[in-house]
Amino acid sequence: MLLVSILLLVVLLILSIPVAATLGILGLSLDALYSSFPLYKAAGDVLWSASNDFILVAIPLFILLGELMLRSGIAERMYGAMSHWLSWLPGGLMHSNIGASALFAATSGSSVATAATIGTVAEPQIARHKYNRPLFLGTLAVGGTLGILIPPSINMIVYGVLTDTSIPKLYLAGILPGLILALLFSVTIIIACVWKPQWDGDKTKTTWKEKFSSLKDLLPPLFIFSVVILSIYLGWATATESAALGVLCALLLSLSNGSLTWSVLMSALEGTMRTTAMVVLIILGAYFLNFILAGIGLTATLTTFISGLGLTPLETLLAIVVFYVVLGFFMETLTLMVTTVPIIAPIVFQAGYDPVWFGILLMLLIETALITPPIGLNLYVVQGIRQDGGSLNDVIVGSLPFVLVLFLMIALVIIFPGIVI
Amino acid sequence: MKKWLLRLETISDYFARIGGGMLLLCALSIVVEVLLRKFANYSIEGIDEYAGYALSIGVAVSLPYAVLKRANIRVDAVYNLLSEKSSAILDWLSALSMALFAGFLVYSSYDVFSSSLRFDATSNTPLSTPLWIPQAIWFFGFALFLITSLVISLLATFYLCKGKMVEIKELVGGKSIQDELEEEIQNKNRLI
Repeated sequence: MLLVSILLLVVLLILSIPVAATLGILGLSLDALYSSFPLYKAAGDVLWSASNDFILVAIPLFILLGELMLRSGIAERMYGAMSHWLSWLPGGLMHSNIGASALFAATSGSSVATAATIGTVAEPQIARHKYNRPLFLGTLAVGGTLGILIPPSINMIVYGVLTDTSIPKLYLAGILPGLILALLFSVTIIIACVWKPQWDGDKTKTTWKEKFSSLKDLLPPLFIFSVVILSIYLGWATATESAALGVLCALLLSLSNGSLTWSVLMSALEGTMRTTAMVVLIILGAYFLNFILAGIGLTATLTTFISGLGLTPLETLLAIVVFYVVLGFFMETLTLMVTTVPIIAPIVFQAGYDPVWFGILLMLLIETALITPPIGLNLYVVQGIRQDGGSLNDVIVGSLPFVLVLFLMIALVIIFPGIVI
Repeated sequence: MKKWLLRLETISDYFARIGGGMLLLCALSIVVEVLLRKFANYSIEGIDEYAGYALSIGVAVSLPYAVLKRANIRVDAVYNLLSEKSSAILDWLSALSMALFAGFLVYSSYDVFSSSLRFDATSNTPLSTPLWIPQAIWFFGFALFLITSLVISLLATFYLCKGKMVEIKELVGGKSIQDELEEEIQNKNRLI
């Protein structure tokens, strides 16, 4: 049963059947093969209660927030401001890449949108200021992944919904590891540029006057981020409610800088629904599949099998880390999460690990998956914005140091679980 | 058939905007609710319940738009390695499987809607909303999604028989990241 399920899943995915349909068809086939009575007849109620879950309303709202930020030019001005403040460090603009991507991704959640925005502004600077091309591209690729860990993150909502873990707790737990990680990325850049000064670009002088006048471009995204996080932290709002507050702030800010026109609003709404519809459809497919898996007893079989192996909790955890790193080479991240989390998470929880803590560990693993070849979305996105027509290998090589940093961070989180609080 | 597709594109555009607009309205009412609750100690009943309905309906009615814009998430590791002809066949298969899944959603949502109607089911909240109302619109969205997927599948089958592989790709082919980026950048340049 287990083997057939995995085989069927792999075949459907390799045939590049849309993920939502894959989950549905897999569920229907397993139902027909292994269930003594047709489970699919009861699926309607599962789908209905899953699809009107108030927690999931946070997904379109955070996507809309990102769309509004993107289309109102807030993100581009933010990059300019970041570069005024961070360019004195060894590695110069590369720190702005990390910082701006982190802050923007933190409010949007889409890697493609982040790279298209930050990347298109940043990429021309490589030639202008003679940066080391691979390393610079690597910072762009890895910067976007921070959005998964630093709240509000769509991936965390998906994890929270699939495992019944509190999303506000996940959000708060992600802040410190997110900041440490961003810091480690910056330290990596500094070490690289002190070791090989020729990798650094030319320095541009910025006066304090320029620095302070650029602050106004940094404030809007910081303001939105603070509203979202503080409203959760102070217990005023749930994740969905904080998303709504964020949307209102973004609307008011883009109204006040005159960038909110009817066509901007409509294209933001269309973009939001395009992404939301597909993401939620996949979540519905996952719910249906899990309903079937539980119904035919596969989830229980697998958990018994794993606990029968007699592994210590740490061994189980390490096996799971390896499992995700390996799958991360080949699978798109949302697919990776919805197909594995409902089965893997109960095993981890049974081994005695905390759901919030594992959620953060998983986000780090997903970040790694985004920048490991051959299938790492962010690598391709950054390659896509390049104007010089170089090879993808540049991006892969440039991201490599940061993959190592991610591994270091994963080890830190496992050795010192206290980081995640 | 082509004319049908164009008509569906226009309709789906409107529905996506309506779906998005509904969720935007939800966002604004949620803000009002949070502020009233915090500063006036007054709570409006049922905002979360209605936001939930708005999500299920908004998603259902936006699916035709998403599928026409080829926003499907697919694992394309192997797909990208194939020749034009083989990958077009996979595209065709992907269109059929989406229609199959849409059919299942229509079946399930009709089942939920019709039994709510039959038993006069109401929501388990102070508002006791008659559930068949949101469920009927939910079902309607999925039905529209099924019609769209069927038209796409028929058109793809027609192209396949005629050997028009490029057309299949344009209709259902997975969007490459390059396409998506270009769209994203164009959008930005158009608007800013």
